Amino acid sequence: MAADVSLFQIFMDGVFIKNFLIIQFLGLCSFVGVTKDTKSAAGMSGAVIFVMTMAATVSYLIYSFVLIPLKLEFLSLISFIVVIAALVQLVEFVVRKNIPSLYRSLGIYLPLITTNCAVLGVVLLNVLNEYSFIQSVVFGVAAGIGYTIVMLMMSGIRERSTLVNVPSAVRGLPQAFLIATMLSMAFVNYFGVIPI
Amino acid sequence: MSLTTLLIQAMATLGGLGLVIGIMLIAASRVFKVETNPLVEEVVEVLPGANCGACGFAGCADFAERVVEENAPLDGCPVGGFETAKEIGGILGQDVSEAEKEYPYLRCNGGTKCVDRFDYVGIEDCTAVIMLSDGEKGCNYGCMGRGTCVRACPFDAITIGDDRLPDVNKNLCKSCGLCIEACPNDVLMFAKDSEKVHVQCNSHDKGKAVKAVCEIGCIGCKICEKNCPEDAIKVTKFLAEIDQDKCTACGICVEKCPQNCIEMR
Repeated sequence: MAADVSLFQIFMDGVFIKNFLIIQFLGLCSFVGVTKDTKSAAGMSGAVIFVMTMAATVSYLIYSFVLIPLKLEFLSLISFIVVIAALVQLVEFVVRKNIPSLYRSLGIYLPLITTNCAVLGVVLLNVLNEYSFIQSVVFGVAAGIGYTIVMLMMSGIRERSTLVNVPSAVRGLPQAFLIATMLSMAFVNYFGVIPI
Repeated sequence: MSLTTLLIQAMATLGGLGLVIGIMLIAASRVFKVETNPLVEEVVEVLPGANCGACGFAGCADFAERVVEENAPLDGCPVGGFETAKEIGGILGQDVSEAEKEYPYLRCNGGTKCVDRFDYVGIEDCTAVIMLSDGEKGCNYGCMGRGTCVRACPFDAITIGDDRLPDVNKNLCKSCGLCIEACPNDVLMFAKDSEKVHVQCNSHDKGKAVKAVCEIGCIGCKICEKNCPEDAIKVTKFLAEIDQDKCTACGICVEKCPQNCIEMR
């Protein structure tokens, strides 16, 4: 099924048509929590791109070389969670050792990626769509880029909207949800751009 | 395949996966181990923990690290003040001498004495007011009184009084300087308690323009400059400035100033 889908299609699919944040509503906690300022949104996005790519790669290897030969596909969910948690831990080690300034500015957001369901979503969708190795990796990168685009758009809008005179009942989180709704409606227009 | 073998296989697979990943993580934590100095922890303990960033570093933990490892100044934490500096010095085995504490000082006495050009209706924020054609005040240099400094202060040391001017409570103030940074018109500045005489104006406008909008602004008449026996006052760009090193707080300029904008405290 998935073999005849071109890499470009998968890429556009991950970035726009099936955008993880505002079309599939995955990873919303970081979407609302980290988008108060652009700097931390960008840092979070960078880490998520890396983890998504790595998770797509490693989990494909585990799924097709460990779980399928042993006919243990039902273990995919729990083993993917283990893989993602280990990867985030590894990223934390490396960043702390090599780029301490980035480690300090990311703070709590780095371990938060472990519980980011968008990462697990990428991995599970790869299995569901029966993507090959290359396709899985491309989908992982695309999902990360789509996440980044929306995070940056959202943080930019929220940063500017703090200076606007908003009714006090709507200020804060309600305002964030309204903005997310409008962003989501804009992205709905990408449906059907590429048949997949 | 019976249920038992399936169960055993599943347990073995997950257990094996966990074991492999665990071993890899242990190896990684050995390779990427970060050496932490135990002194850093001790310094963090004595710091106030406000994480206000007034020291110029990312937070208290960052400051502690820089003090221990990169020779940042021991009295770099303005919030903790001399007490904290002494404790840090005790941990690191160095002596500290006390520097005099500085407080934010308002260079404007306009407030309600300065006329408004229009009625402002909008968010209560000095930056927002100034974005609207340089503010509602007749004077473009003075304090807007909309409380940006009040909100910037993490220690609740500033209040806006009835005269629409901020009032700094010295008992609560920790000299972190965040209000000075937040003020869009730069009317707040640091001043020591020993510096007695201050010019209460920030306006560089010509005398006539100042008189038209403000009752007590500096008009640059140079009377203070001529009368100062210590040659400590200079009028530059229609605004008197006091050289605090030369000033002896004799009070002559305070008496002579026709606008009453020099104050002794």
